[in-house]
Amino acid sequence: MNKTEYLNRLSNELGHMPYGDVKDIMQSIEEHFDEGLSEGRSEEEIAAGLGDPKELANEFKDGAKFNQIMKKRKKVDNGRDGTGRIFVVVFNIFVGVAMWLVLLAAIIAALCILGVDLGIIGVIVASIIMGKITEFIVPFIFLLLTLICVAIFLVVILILGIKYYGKGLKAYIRWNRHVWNYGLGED
Amino acid sequence: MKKGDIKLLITGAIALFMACFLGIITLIVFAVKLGGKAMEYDWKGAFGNSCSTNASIED
Repeated sequence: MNKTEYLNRLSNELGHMPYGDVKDIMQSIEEHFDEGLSEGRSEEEIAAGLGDPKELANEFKDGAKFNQIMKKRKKVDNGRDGTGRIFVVVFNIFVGVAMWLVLLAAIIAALCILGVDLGIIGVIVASIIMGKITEFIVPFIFLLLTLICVAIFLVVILILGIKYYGKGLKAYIRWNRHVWNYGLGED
Repeated sequence: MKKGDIKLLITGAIALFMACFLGIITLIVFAVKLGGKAMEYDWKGAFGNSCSTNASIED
């Protein structure tokens, strides 16, 4: 990837950031390319050193400054010992994947319980309307109200659960990629 | 956490509290109703019949 291609892709990835910030970032990257070229490196080499434009854009979106990012890049270039990668693999085998699967199972279980709850509500309402429940009508009305409250609670839990599961999983994947690329111990 | 999420969380907490509260009331109302039924039930007649039946079988 040459300089123009890299800058275009980075500019596309930075699309949602404020114009002033994008301008500053693009200027820093251009300066970095110019410096590299004056040192005799090719555009492709410099682009490879910067890494994937999407990943770089994400780092800028996370609030990182260009100098910090370049410091990290240098660290990676200077010596990647592979401990980060080993950690990611081992952690995911023993903890990470299991943890996310358990959370997913909890969400699915909550969904099933909600289904059963709504089913029971339907049966009670239908029985009351059809006049099948006459003697125990008061306890069944209380049971109905209880089940409605349980349903509301489950809906809230599911909405928040699914939302934060998605967000958490995204952040977790990003953290894994970060550890994979830059290792542990440095932010 | 956004404001909407906090509102949702408060709704969930209130719903959980109400579910527990109404659940206890439901159990009490069911217990009272079933207790009343049990008091009305002809236990002597029910067991008396079965005892006499057993006795007649033994005879």
